[in-house]
Amino acid sequence: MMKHLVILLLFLVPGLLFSFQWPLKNPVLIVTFAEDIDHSFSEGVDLASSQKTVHPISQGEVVFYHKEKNRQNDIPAPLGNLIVLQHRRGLYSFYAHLENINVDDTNFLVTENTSLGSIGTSGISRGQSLFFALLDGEFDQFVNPLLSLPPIQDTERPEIGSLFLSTPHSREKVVKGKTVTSGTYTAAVEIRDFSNNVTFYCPLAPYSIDLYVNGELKKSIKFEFLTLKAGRRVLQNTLLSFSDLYKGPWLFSAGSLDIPPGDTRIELSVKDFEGNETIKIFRIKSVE
Amino acid sequence: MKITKHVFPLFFVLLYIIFFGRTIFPEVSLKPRWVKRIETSIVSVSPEGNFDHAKPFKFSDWFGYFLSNGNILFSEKTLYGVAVDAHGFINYSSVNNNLLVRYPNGLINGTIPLAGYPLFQGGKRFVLSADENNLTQINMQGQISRQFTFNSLITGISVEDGFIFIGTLNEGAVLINEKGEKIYTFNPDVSKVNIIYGVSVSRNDRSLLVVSGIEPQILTLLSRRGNTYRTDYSLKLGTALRHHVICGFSTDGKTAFIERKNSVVLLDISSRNMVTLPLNGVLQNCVQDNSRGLFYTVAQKERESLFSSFTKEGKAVFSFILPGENPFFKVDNSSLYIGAENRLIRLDVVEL
Repeated sequence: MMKHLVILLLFLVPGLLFSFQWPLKNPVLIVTFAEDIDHSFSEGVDLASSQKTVHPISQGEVVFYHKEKNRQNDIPAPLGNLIVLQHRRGLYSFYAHLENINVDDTNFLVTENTSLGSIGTSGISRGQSLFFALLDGEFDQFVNPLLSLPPIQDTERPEIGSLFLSTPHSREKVVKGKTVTSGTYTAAVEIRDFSNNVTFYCPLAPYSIDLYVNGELKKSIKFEFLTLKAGRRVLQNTLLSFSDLYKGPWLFSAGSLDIPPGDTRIELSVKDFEGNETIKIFRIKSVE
Repeated sequence: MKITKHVFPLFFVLLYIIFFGRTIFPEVSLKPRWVKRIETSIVSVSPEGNFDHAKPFKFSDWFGYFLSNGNILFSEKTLYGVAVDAHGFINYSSVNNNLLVRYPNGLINGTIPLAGYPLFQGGKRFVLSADENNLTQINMQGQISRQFTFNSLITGISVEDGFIFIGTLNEGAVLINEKGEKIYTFNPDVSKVNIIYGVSVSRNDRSLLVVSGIEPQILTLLSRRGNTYRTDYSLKLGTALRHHVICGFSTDGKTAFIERKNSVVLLDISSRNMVTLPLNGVLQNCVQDNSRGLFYTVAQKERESLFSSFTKEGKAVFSFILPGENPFFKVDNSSLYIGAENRLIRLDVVEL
């Protein structure tokens, strides 16, 4: 817990010191951190905007770039036109799928006002957008960029849908008045977050999921850091891999649950990054 | 009919060689053998359809297979990108969730249910994931055999004799053996950043080459000592290149080459002597003709491709320019196969 707090502070404090700005003006979040992208975690955020120019989040130095149409002897570039900046030792910011690149080997020092390029569709991109990620090289982890960027004005609360209880052989939707057999289940819950600055249907992953059973906190998942453990990308605070967490589209695993005979009260608290919270309570009757 | 059809392209090449070619090394000249225009899709049938000796090519918007006598066995327009080797190809669009593996004659061999871009190198096949952190090794049918996941960006890949040498943004350069085991990691730590910009593993994994860091950018040559590698030589390079750096070993393994801004450096591995080959443009390719000991550089400047040849000592032998981007260049037994714009050309290096 203490370690997590230190890591969190390490990001919040430099965030304030460096006064990070959004890489785009009027940003619209269309994919958030650790969201399901082609069956793997998104290591950053996808942003759209009516403004096309991409700026660095703070002053820094171009330490790596590649272009969409690489030379035959280069490796391919699914991130399209990409720029990687270093802001302080070990803190890197990534700007991908750019339309064009305005920096090179001789023009590599950037400030907040530098135009890195324009948002585009280069590489494996889902429409005109910017993929932006923050890598903490000292701790070897991708950081939720929203931890270091100014807040987005969003008052929409996440939506909690159905709760499912699974055994290796079956999956049951928790319905009011329905009785289940007592035992150990894997819980999965439908969650979609929405932002009120997006005009089209664009669900997002939440920032945190807390699950209480009869008032006791059983599971807490925070979408803050992604790291590598034993060759698998995992959420840092829970060590959940993608397949551990995502049980289907917008269906998040809430871990293992012991349902004793009698009445069980399951409370789910889901927050988005702006702190908008939704709480939903499920009551389960179980028999032996 | 065939002769008339090829008169103009041959004349075109001859004009370029006469007016733009520079013959400094008098004992050698270039003899045009054939020129083929690649403008339509071709699917050849037997007996030309035997792909045993077919050579893959890709340049401009086209790729395919040809024989050394000039027969084009297969050609197809590149969708967004293409990975092609002697056993087949993947012609892919920019956004995909399913890559189609095909034989050289275009027939479907298998599919890969992965989002990413394919890379065929050193007889192995891979898919680089959409986030560029994951390299999946696949077999000829497209089935997944191994996955290598890194914490951050993969910045360079070199494959030789079953060994895979991978450069990364933040985790050094990792050598993987034929069994898929990570057997060595090179961690640079003398520069302001420790990014790997270029990697190469020599044949039989005897030597490794790494270009890393900025301020200074450093070239490190390592050689195998038992189960590990030891730095044999390191050199501070000039102005740092902040993109993938093309580097490698000559086919005889005696020379290393490293891309620099407007030049290519040849490093004699035993004597450590260095020779700088001038380059007018951005390096596309550097290859050695083992039979004559010549080095060839291919550079691109705006919409033209510059082909140059040098001795190992750095003496210019010849150079010429052809219009077109993303050129193709292959040397095989003193025959040069060149693809530029919409022409595939064979030139033979002959002694006068």
